[in-house]
Amino acid sequence: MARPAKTREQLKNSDASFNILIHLTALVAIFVCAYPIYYTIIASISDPNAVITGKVLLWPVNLTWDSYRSVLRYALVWTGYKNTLLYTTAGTVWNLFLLIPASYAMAKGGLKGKKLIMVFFVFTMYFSGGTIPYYLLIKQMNLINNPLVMILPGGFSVFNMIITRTYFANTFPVSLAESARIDGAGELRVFIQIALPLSGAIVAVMALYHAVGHWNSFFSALLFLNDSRYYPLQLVLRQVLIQNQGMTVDTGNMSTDEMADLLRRKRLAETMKYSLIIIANLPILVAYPFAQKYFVKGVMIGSIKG
Amino acid sequence: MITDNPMQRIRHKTTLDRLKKYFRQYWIFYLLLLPALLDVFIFKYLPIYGVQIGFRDYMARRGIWGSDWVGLKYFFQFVNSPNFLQIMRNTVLLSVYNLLFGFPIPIILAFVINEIRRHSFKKITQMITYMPHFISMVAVVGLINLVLDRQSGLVNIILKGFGSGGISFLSMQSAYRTIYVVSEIWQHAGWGTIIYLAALAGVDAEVVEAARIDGASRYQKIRYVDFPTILPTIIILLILRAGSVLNIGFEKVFLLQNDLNRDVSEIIATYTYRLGILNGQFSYTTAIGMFNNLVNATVLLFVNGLARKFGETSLW
Amino acid sequence: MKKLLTGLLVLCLVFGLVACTPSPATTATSTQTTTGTGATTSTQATTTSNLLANICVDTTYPCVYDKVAVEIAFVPSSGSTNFNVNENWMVTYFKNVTNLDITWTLIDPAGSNERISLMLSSATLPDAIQGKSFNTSDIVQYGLGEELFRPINDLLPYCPQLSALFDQDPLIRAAVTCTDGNIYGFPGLSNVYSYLLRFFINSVWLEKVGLENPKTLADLKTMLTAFRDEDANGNGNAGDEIPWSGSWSEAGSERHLIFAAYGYINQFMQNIMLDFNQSEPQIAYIATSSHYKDYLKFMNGLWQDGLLDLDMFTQAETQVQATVLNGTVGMVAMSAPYVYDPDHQDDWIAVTAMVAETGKQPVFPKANTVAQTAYFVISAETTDEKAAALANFADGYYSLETYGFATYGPEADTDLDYFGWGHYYDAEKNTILYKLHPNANGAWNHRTTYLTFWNVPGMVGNGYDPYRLAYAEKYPDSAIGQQFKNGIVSRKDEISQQQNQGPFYVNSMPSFFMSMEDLKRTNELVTPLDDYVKSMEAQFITGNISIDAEFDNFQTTLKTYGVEEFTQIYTKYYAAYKANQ
Repeated sequence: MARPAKTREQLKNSDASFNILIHLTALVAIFVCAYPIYYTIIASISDPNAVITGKVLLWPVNLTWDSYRSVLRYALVWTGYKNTLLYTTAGTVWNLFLLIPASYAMAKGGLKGKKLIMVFFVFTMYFSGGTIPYYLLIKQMNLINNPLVMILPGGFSVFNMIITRTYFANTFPVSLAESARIDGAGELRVFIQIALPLSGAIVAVMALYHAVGHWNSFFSALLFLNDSRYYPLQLVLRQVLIQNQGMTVDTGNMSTDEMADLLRRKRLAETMKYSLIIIANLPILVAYPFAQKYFVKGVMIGSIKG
Repeated sequence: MITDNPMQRIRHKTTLDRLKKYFRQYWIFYLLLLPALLDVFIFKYLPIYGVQIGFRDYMARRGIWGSDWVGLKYFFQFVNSPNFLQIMRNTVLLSVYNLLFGFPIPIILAFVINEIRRHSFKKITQMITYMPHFISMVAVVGLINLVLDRQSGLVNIILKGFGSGGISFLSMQSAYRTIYVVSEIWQHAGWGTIIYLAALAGVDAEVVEAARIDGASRYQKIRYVDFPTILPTIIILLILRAGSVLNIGFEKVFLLQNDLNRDVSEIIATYTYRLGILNGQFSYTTAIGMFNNLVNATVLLFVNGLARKFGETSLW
Repeated sequence: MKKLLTGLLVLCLVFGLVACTPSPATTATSTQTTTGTGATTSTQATTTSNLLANICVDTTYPCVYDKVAVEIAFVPSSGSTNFNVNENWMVTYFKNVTNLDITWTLIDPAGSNERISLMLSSATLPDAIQGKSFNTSDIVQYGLGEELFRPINDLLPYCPQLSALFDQDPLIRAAVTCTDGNIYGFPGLSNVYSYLLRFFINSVWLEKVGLENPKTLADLKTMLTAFRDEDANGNGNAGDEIPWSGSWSEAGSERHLIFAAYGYINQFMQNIMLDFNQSEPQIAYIATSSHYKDYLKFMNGLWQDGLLDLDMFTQAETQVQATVLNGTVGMVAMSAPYVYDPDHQDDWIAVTAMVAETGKQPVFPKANTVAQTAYFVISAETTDEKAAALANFADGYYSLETYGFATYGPEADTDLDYFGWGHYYDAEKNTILYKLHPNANGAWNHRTTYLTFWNVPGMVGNGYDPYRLAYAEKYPDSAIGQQFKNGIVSRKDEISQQQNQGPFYVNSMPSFFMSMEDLKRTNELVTPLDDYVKSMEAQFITGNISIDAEFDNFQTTLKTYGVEEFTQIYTKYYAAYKANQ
C-alpha cells in the first residue's frame, strides 16, 4: 500500500467508528429478522380471529395451544419426524460422498478432460428430460413407494460442486501437499490426510445446505410414495394444513355441527400456518446452536494455513 | 533436435509413455469422480430423451417416441402469444431487480458478521439472521399481508402518523416488484452469508497481520485483504445466479398475485401453472420450460465469457 | 477449436444417448397399442354376445360369482386425515359383500392432481380410478384422444341402476356422452337445490334502513348507499359499514350476479355466458357482450361511491369471514350464513334475482344435474371381465342403500357396524350424530376418514334430494329415514334461496365435449384472453383505467387475442347441443 499510514490516533478513531457501524448494522439486521420470528411464535399461540384481523402485534392475544394440539395429536407427525431424520442424515452423507471427492478432483489443475466433464455436468443444469421420463426411470428401478427414493436419486448437485470446487482451488495448501508428495505420499493420501481436514468449512457448509434441503423436501414424496409410513414430516404437515383449510369441502351434505366444526378448523388454519413453521423447524432451530459449535470449529480449522 | 547422444534418445518419451505416466499419477482423480459421474448419468442423462417432448405433440398412449414430431411449433406458439412480451418483461425485471439489490446484501452482511469481535454477539446475529430462511412461503406472505394491510398494517400506521396512510399496497402495480424484492432480501440474506463466511475463513492470517502492522484500518483490511480472497466465490456465485435469470420461483409470486397487479406479476412460472391446469398442454408447457432454460443457458455462457475475459475465475 | 470439439462431443454424446436409450416408453407403447386395439375389438364382440356369466346383475352385491381381482386407485375426501384402508368401514364393507378382491391404492388428496396427471401422462393406470372428477375436457383428452379410458356403453347391461337413471332422465345421458357417442365414466349427480351465486344480505340492516330485498340494480345501489350512510349496524358509528364485501380473486362471482341482472347466465365461472336477452339464448363472451360497458360503469360507480370493500380485489376468503364476524358487512357471497356467521346466521337472507330495468323477466342460474362428468373411470387396458366387474361395482353406488352408506356410513349398533363408529339419529336436534373415532377431528373428518370414501359417483356429497325422499319412504325406521322424514330442505338459507331464486331458474348450457382440435385451440386462446380480461376489468372497476377513454381500445385488443374465434367455437357447440334437444 502506497498511501501514507495513518497515525495511531487516526487509526483508533476510524476503527472505533467502524466498530460502531458494524454493531449498528448487525443490530438492525437482528431486529428486522427477529420481529417476524417473534410474530410467528406469538401468532401460533393466539386466537385465530385476532390474527386474521391484525390485532396480534407484540403479545399473544387470547392464548391458546389449539393450533399445536391439533397437529401434534397425529401419530403420523411423529412418524414424519422419524422419517425425515432418517432421510436427512442418510441423504446428506450420500450427498457429501458424491460431492466432496468430485469437487476436489475438478479442482485439480492439469486434469485431462476436465472441461469435457464440466460441460457434461453443467449441461444437466439446463436440460432435463422432465418429470415423466424420470418417473418411468424410478419405476423401472423399483423405487416407487420405497424410502430409498428419498435418499438415492440425484444425490449429486452440480451447483454445489461448482462452489466447492472453487473453494478447493483457492485454499489448497500447496506447500503442505508438495512436502507430503516428496515424502512419498500418493494423491489419495494427500486428499484424505491433508486437503480434507483443512476443508472443514466447506464440508460444513455443504452438509448444512444438503441437510436443510432434505429437511424441507416433500415433492419427491408426493410423487413417489404411497404409503404414509414413509412420509417425511413436511408432507404430513402440508396435508394437515390443507385438510384444515378445507379448500374443497362440499357443504351440501353437512349438519350444522359439522359446519361449525369446519369453520372453527378453517380459522384455526390461519394460526396453524405459523405453528407449523415452529413444529417443522424446531429440531433445526434447537440443534443449530450445537451444530454451530462444530461449524465454527470447522470454519476455524479451515482458516489454519500452512 | 536429433542428437547422437544415446542418453537423450532413451529419455525421449512417446505420447503413450506420457499418457501412462499421467494415469499412474492421476487415476485416483478419475476414481474420485466416478460416483458423481454415475449418479448424473443414471438420473439425469437416462431420462434426457424426454427433452424432445417440447418438439412433439405428446400423447401418453403413443409414448414419447410415438408422438408426432411438430418441431418448433410450441416455441413459436409461446413467442407469438399476445402476452409473451409482458410475461418475459415481468420475469426478467423481477430477476434483475432481485440480483441488483439482493446479491450484494449477503456479502455486506457477511463482512459485518465477520468483523464482530464478541463471540456471543456474533453467534446470535448469525442465528437470528438465518431464521427467516426457514419460514414457509405461505407464512411469509401472511406476514407481508399483515405488515402492508390497508388499515391495520404497520406501514400504514406509520404513514398515518405522517398524515397519509390507508394505501392498499398489494393492489398497486408500482409497488409489486419492490414488495417482492424486499421480502426476498429479508428472507434469504442471512442464509446467503453462510458461503461467504466460509470463504472468509480462508483469509490468510499472516497477510492480515502484515496489514495491521502496516497500519491498515479495519475498513482497509476488508477492502484489500478480505474482499480479494472471497472474490472468486463471489464471481462464481454471480455467474450461477446469472444462469438462473428466468427462474423466478412460483410460490411467492403466485400468492401475492391478484387481478389488480396481474400486469406486473404474471411470470413464466405462474403462466405455466395456469396452462398446466388446463389439460392437453403438456407439450406446450414443456416447450416453454425449454425456452426458459435456453435463455438461462445463453446468459450463463455470456456472463461466463465476460468473467473469463476480465478475470481469473470462471466456470470453465 | 478445442471448445468447438468439446461442444460437438457433447452433442454427440447427448444425441447418442437419446437415440440409443431403450426408452421404456417405446416398449410400453408397443404393448399398449396392440392391447389397445385388442380391447376395442373385443368390446365390440361383447356387445353382441351374452352377458359375461360371472357378473351378478340381479342384485347390487355381490358383483361377481367367482372372485375377481381388481386394482383401484382412489382419492379420498380432502376432509380426511391419514386415510388408512385398514381402518375404513367402507373398504371392509365392500370386501365382505362384493366378492371382489380389491387392492385399494391411496392417492393423497393433497397431491392428487400431480399424481393422476403423472399417471395419465405416462399411461400407467390401475384398473380403475375413483374419486377424481374428470371434466369434459379431460374426457376428450384422455378418453377420446388418448384412449386411456374405456367407454362404458357396452358395459351398461351390467349397470342396472345407472341404466334406469338414464332412462328416467335422458338429459343426464346426453350430458355425459362424448362427441364420439361414448360415455367414458360414471357421473356424480347433484342436488336439485345446489345453489349457485350464494349471495346474502343482512336482513336486520335492511329493516334498519327501511328497505326491501332489491329487485333492480338501481334498488341495489340505493340499498348499498343506505347501508353506508345510515349506521345500518346500529352501533352509533355511521362510518364503519362495508356495504358489499367479498373476495374477488377467490370467489369471483360478483360479476355473475350483476350479469344475471343484465340477462346473462353462466354456470361454470368461465367467461362464456348465455345471453337471454335475445329471443333465443345465444353464446356471448363476457367482455364482448353488449352489456359489458354498462356493467363496468355500474361497478365503477359503486366503487367510486365507496360501496364496495376497498380490499375486495386483494383479500382472501378468510379475511372476508373475519370482517363478517365483526358485524360490519351488509352484503356478501358466502357458502352459507352458518359457516361465516354462526351466531347470527338467521339474520341473513338470500338475494333475489334482479333485473337491470323494471319490466324485464329476471333470470337466475340453475345447477346442472351432472356435477361430476366422470367420477369413476375404467382403464382401457384392463380385461373385459375386470371391466365388467368394475362397471357393476361402480353401478352399486347409484343404489339407494349404497347412497346411504356412502354418505352416512353404517347405522350404529347394527350388524354392519363392524368397528362401532356408526351413526345414530338424535331426535331432539333432528340431526345425525356419530360415535366418533378417538383420532377423529370432528364429525366431518370422522365420516370421510373412517366411514366412507365420499368422492364416489352417484348422489353422495351432492345431496340428491329425490334419494332422500325415497330413502325415508323405504326405510322409515332407520336413523337416516327418520331425519329425512322431516323434509329435504330445512336450513333457513336453503329455504331463502329457494324462495328468492327458485322461481327464476333457467338452465345454462352444460359443459361441452369438444373435438381434440377445438379443445386445443380454446386451451391455447383462453389463458391469455382471460388473464387480460381479468386484469382490465379490475382496473376499469377501480378506476385505475378510465372506461370512457380506454374501452374501445380494449375491444380492439381483445380481437387481437382471438376472442372472435374463441366465441365462434362455443357457438358451434351450443348450436349442436340445441339441435339435439
